[in-house]
Amino acid sequence: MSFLELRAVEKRYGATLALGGIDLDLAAGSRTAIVGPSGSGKTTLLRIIAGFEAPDAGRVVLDGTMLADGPRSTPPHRRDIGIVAQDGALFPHLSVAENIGYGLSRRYVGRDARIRDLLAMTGLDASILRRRPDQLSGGQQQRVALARALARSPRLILLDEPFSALDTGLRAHTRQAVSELLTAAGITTILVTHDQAEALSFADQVAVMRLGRLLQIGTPRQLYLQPVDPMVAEFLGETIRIPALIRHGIADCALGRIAVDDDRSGEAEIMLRPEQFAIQPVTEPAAPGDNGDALAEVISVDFGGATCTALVRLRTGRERTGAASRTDHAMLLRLRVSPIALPDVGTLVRLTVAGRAHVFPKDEQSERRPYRSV
Amino acid sequence: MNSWAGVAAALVSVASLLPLAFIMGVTIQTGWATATAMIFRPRVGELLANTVLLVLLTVPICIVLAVALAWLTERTDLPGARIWAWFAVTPLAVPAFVQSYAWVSLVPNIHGLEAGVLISVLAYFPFLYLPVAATMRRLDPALEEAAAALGDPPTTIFRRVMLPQLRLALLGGSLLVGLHLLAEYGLFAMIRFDTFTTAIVEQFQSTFNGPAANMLAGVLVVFCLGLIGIEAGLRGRARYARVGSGAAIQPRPVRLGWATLPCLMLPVAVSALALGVPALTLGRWLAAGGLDVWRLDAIGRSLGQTLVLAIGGALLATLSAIPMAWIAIRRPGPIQRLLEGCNYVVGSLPGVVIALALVTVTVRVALPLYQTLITILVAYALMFLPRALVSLRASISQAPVELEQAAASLGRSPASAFWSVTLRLAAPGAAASMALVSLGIFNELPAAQMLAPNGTRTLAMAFWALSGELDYASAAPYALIMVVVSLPLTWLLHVQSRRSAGR
Repeated sequence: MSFLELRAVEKRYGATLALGGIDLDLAAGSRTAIVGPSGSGKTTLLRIIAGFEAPDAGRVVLDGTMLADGPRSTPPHRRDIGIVAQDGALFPHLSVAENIGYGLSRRYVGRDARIRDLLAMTGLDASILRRRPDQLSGGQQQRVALARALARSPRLILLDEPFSALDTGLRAHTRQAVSELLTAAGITTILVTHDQAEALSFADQVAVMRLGRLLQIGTPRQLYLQPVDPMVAEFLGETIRIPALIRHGIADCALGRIAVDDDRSGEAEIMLRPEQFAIQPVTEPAAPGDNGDALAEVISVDFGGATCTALVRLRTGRERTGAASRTDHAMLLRLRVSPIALPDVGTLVRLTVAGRAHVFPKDEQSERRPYRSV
Repeated sequence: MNSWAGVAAALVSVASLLPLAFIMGVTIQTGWATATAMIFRPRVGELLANTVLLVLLTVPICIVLAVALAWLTERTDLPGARIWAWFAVTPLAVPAFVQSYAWVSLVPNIHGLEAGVLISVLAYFPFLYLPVAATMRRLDPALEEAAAALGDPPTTIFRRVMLPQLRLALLGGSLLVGLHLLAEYGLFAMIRFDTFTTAIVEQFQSTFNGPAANMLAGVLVVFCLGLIGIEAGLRGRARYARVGSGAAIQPRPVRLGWATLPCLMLPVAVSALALGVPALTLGRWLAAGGLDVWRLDAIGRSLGQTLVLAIGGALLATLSAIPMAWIAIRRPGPIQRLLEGCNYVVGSLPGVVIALALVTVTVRVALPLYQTLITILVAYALMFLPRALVSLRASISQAPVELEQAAASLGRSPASAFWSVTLRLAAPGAAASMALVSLGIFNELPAAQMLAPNGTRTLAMAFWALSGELDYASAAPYALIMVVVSLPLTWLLHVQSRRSAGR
């Protein structure tokens, strides 16, 4: 049985459909990331779960308690759901200690000790207790906001792009710390973000949202390697898509023969991630007729430190075999390359693919490139 | 440019301290024994009690009223919220003594503390409504949501999150209301409620320039400085900057539901009392008086004289404010802040105190200047310098220093660069500052009574004289002109406060 259950949740703002029938299940203690471009409705979904908005239709059930059934909605202060907003939303008129203790009753005996515990738990120094929020750095503000939300031991924590205001380095560090902290506390968490890397690294369940609908829900690995359609695939990272003829789990394409994760047969498009490729300079050009290898010429390289890319042009079938073939058009691929072994422009390289290629399941979205049976 | 601006700013500031210096000088001259005898007597105690009670009752009522109206117009789905918001500012167009006149002629036996509090609240609550409504519009709804997620029901959120953030607006507005209560003459004289200001004017009219009036003025100054000190102390150094960088979301208006009708009663009642009563009274007297009360020669002469004073005073105040505003933007520093502080403190003194000081100065030192146009224009410049300074500062800060530097690199001298670039860009602000000052002068009464050259009869003076003779019908046209001319000012304030909130 799921801990949080959303069924057919719908919300409209005038004529705009913000959410169109959202179904979502969260296991107790799990971490879910909802990711999508801005305007996809992810923040609206979060606000409905928090109780700041009521859905037009649909149900929100938390741990067996009905929180919203259509427009009938429990107000946020009776939901016991913690929230950390984008910029922390710390009360500017209260000190750090009073911010953290805001949700704790003044008559609560261990109040001060609890505040100090929370401060330590979120990795903050006790010296900032008397400070005002505007005297804190961005990272500290987010940690205080998290401590404030954790103070009441909520049943569910909602994180609304809490890391987006932080610098790149601080961001990864804070995300890691928050993730560890929430796992240790065993609190069910929903993170809303537009940053796919953040979603993938933070959560054990990721939901991709677009135009008010959930396109796919699954583990980060599933979503990244087996996206349900090209849109999800591209949102989560760069893709390389190549037309192929698939037979018995093997795709025949411009890259040669590659294993796929689908046992259907026919013409289809296969998807690979740039990281799946390895390139090796070829000293002696392979003789025509060597059919197994994919050869390519380096067109340009971009040195970007940790992530370097090389643009390569795949040798066409005619160039390889001397005979006309299905794969005669020149194909450009942008690949990740190690900065240590960056090839020179003009080098001929051999491409090898690690892992299997992905075939998009047949559905209405892939009808543009129909799966034709042979 | 720097040096002459600095010297000019210092000169203006020193000149602005003249009234304070003279009050002190006269006190010293009078001698300690006489001074204490004049200050510590039952009459002063009575005035003190009246004034303190007036402030202590009026300010809290204004706060409650302003917060309630601001919440209704800014954060709820109250029908016609925009109109009620505008109606909550409009009472500023009705000069306080016209408000008082409206009530006296409607309820002839109205008098005393209750009447003073009632009419003061109606006349001055917009000074609190304006900043409170502007702040409420700017409040980040994310904070209220955070409090709700932490388990606070809406009423607790209002008390724990919303009210504390209104603190600066409440303090600033309360100070403004308090200073107006201390400075107002006509309102209280009309309903025979004695405050320090009415007593000073009375004393001046009966004994001219006696030390008694000066001693009362001294007590009043201490009172004003006390209010300013209390406000500064309560405000402290706290600033409630919005933390974080994300865009604030629009607050969702609170649905009033069944409470809509009862809630609607508040703005309806306030508008009826603050605007309906003056409109009704003026309308009644104008109808009763017919065409006979429009003595166009007298009214025209008053209007002309008032305009001369208003425009002349505004020009002088704005010119005197330019060096100070320029330094404040381009060369801020501790000395500049001190000079600016002097101007604000003097500007917050009641008009009667400044007028009394200038009477003393001219009579003792420069008799030829007594009751001349120059003296009254100087008095107005001193009284309204802060108004001019505020809008000038804002508009000079709109003209970036880089433009002045660009002009300098193209061969303009500093002064020429200032005139051709900065002042040209600041012109709209200067115009706004002149408008604000001239409207202030337009409705000013006690300083005009004490300082205006013989034969001068401004609109306010004519209105005052006629209503003093209980000729309410003849006074009505003057009141109408003052209200009509002031209406654009309230519209300006209304629009400005919306704009400052980014709408």
